[in-house]
Amino acid sequence: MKLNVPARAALLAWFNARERGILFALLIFWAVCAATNPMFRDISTYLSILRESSFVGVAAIGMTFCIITGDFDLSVGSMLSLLGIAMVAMVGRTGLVPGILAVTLLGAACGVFNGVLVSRLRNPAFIATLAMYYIYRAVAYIVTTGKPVEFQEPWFTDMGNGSVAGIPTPFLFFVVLVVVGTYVLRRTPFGRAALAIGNSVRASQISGVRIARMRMLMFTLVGAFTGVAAMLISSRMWSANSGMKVGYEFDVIAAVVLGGTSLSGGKGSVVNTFVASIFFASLNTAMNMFHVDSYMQRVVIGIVLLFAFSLTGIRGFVAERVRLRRERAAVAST
Amino acid sequence: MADAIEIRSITKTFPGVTALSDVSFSIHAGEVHAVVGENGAGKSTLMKILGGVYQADRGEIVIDGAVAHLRSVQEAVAHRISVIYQEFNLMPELTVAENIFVADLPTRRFLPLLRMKALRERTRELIDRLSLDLSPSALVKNLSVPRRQMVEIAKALHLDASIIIMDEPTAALAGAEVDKLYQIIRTLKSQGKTILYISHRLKEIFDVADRVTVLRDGRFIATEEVSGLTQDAVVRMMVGRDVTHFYPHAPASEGALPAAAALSVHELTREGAFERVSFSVNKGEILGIAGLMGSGREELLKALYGLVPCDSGEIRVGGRPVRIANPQDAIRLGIGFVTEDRKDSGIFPLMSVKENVSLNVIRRLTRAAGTYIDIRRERALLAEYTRFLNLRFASESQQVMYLSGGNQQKIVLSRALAAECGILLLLEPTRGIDVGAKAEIYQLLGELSRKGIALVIVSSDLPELIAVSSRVLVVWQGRITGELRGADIEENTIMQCATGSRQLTRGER
Amino acid sequence: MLGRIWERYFIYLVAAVMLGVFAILTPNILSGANIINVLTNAATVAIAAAGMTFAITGGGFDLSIGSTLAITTCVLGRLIPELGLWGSFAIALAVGTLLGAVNGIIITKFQIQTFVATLSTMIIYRGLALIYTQGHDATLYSYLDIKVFTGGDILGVPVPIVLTACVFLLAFAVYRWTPFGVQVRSIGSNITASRVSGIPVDRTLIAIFVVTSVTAVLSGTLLTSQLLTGNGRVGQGFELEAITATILGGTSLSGGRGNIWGTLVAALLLTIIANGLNLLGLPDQYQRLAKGLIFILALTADSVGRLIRERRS
Repeated sequence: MKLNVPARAALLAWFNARERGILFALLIFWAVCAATNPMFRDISTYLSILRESSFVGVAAIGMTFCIITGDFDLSVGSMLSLLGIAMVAMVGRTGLVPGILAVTLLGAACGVFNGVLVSRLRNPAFIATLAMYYIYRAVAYIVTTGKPVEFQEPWFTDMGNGSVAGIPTPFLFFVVLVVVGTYVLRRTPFGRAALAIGNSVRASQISGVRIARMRMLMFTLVGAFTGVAAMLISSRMWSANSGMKVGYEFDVIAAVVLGGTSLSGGKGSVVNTFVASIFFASLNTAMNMFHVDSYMQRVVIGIVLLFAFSLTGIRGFVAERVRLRRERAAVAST
Repeated sequence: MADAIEIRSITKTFPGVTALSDVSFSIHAGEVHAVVGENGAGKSTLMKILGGVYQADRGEIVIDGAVAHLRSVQEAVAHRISVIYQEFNLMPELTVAENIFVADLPTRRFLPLLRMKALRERTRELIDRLSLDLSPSALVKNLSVPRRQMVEIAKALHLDASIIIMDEPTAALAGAEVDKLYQIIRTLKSQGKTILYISHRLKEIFDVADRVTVLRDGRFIATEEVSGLTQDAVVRMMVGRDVTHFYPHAPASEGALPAAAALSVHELTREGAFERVSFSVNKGEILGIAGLMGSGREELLKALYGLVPCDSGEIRVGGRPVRIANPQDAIRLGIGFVTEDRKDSGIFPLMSVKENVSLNVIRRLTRAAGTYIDIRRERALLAEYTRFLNLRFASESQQVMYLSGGNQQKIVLSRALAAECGILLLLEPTRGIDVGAKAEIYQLLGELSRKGIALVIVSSDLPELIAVSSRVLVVWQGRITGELRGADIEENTIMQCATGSRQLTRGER
Repeated sequence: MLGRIWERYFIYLVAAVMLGVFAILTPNILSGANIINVLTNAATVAIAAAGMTFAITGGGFDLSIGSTLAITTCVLGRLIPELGLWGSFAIALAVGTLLGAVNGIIITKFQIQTFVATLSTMIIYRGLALIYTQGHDATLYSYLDIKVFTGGDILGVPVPIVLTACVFLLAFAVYRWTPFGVQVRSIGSNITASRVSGIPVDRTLIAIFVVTSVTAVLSGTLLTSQLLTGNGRVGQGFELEAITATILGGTSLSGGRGNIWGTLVAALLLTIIANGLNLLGLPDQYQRLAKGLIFILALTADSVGRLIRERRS
């Protein structure tokens, strides 16, 4: 397929625009796995990876926006358990589509609550969402008295377990939301404002950005996306309970940060978060396929995270060495 | 006189730019030696080399007759060099005493326990040596800027520095505080210290320095006795060209344009900041607002943009009374604002040049009911302002943090102008910008006023304010003490009104 | 100024109020036996929180202490049968020191933020704990020496209380009266200025993380003594509990300003609540709710105070 010149230039520009290192990492990883393990030459493995990536990835889209503005939300896992329970409890009565809408709205409502704590009452995001981390899960427990809720009708469980035209349904949700998310970030005033706030709150204020409102909206987004993720996960599990996915928030934040979005905000990419989620899922699947001891898997993930996080540090270090060498050469040649 | 420091053929390059090229000069022991030059002249690089932060590529530094290898901050300190940077290196949550002694706290002989009394006494001794106005147990975060500077100076003394380098020491001081600093410098000098004084404010060089070295484009130009120089001569050496046309021709005087009040303010009051302020600005007029730090002039300007609320009073834009409760209101009324601290509140460092310029008006550059940003129109906007303001950048997607200070300020200006404002408020618009870029900005202000835009400028740079404004308001303790026109716009009159010793408003004429 | 007093002593007020409320609801709570019970339970979180106070004062977090706790229980569980109590304890301390040093080295040499660095090591260390025990419990039912930590007493005072008192006295002394304390506050207040001022920032940071890990080992020892089991799954969420106690106790999240005694009071408060709720017959989950609500209460009070102050100025 030959691309004409403007298209090729555009593709190159897209590639260079934001650090696409994670994409390279993913492709190289897949190549290595495919070369060393026959299961990685089977399309079903990749489909399974794509499915798995969606469960963390969907929530990570919302979290990307939040982190870009310089906040983050530690309550996502607890929110997930509450929303999952809500989903499973009501889907029987409301039906599928109204149920999905309802859980998204409910998620948004939780997000608004978080947003009020952080943005209107001006508490540090860390503490406010830490508090909600405790509260959401406790509420989930109290509401279900600790017992799981189940719903096994196929029209519901197909959301998380089924496929459409061969593509896993959760992944379809994921892709659509990624497209929407990246459009919003790059092509709408809303997205620009989010980036601006992450760059400089003072300058955004002077430019007329409604800072409090925007930050609130970010948390609302996190909640809404977590709602969708809750739907997919509870569908996958046929059930929900108050102890599900403990530590989920760390998975989500890790995916966003691995994708190159800095915790200090101001820059980020939904597409990179998408790739990073797939990378994590690939890593997990690969470790299973290579029969890596399940405990060792954790160690591997931790090391991969460290490596990724230190890349900025390493990149800086390497750049410094290269610069020094170039300088010395320049001086020596004069 | 012996040389405290001899700088021999220092060269330093960074990727793409030569910061210093074969710079040689010497600094006599016990003198106050000023180093001046535009931004990019190399003064801050030279200072960092002396401070051990950078290493020169070539050349040597000779201190007290011996070649010194300043490979780290510690080694510079060991050579008794102490640098006081513009952004102080203080820890706000620690006390004055702790800040000074933090790397070298007095402890008991065999246990790692602090000797609090000794700490307090030693701090007091340092403070008294310079008769500074400090308390050892005060928390630095509660101290005013001039006091914090005193802590830095005490720190330098503690390290027994014999060479003290000050980078733009008066940048955040005003009036009496500057005089206090001069006093401290003179005391240091009388104790035999050598002071290296780096400043943009030429007037200060003439107030306090013995000799001055001028750098331009990384090269050494001259070292002269201050007594034998004039300000113009120094500027000529700094810029390398004649700057008689430094300031634009006086803007169209009142009367040339129809007196249509673009902005008028009546009895505006904010408790604790300003009181019953009334004035108006016509289209095409450049109104300067002068006053000492803390006089309320900054708050006044911010109130006009909705950054600071008012308790009472009225604002009219184009004759109609309006409410400006926040920047969105101001932008909608066609008021633009340019801040003094572009790094902190002006630019979006990680965002591109294109995105920086378009942010204020981004909604106007959209289609489909404001949901889709039209990149082509964004680019056109950028092109328009690149032409108008002579912006220099590598590509439209370059991150703004990599641009020069002058270009960054122009981008901030572009963003404010892009909203097609009729009124532009500027707070210290040329702070920290080199002479060349300043001249460009003055020209621009003149052009904007000719186009009919009303400009209100708050500036601590009196010569700048005097040359650029068609009218000057002077603020003292929140009230207007002077409304000056024509020949009255000169330094003495302004300073008299600014210190409250004179009142020159319409009623007094 | 009022704000600062509020921030420092808020937690004492809440503790007093809560104690009062529970005293009315369950008079048992003030019985001698129960008080000793509470203090003993509080010890585990309190000791780790003392270490965390240094971390947060220094401007960072240690998210890995839950995993270090788990490793400690596993090490003790596996080694006590072979090496006896004190030998295993010594090894546990050594392991903790090593883990803390690794945290510190990663943060300083690889230049990674404390949050993400300890997030990663949290995952790694727990993996190591699980590998070491292969997921099984390491029980000590026949090796009751370790009970001395929770069952015994010194001069009539239960060991955990003595231990907590010692740890906090030491922590306070170090914080207030040693150069290390000043330097931790310095780093938390402005790390670049600290570097320029000649403080050995990297060394101090490593030391901070060794402190958090060692306190986690002490907590882990108490826990093992209580459960008589070593297990790679314990302590999930423990780091957040320690952080909760530290912040509720008045240590500033932005660094430079710590409150050692506040941390102790906060840890006690959290335990009082858990204890009170238990005595009222409510299941564990309600404790989480309570924890969160106290946080919210603290935050709301803080915000309201701030908003009032701003409106006035």
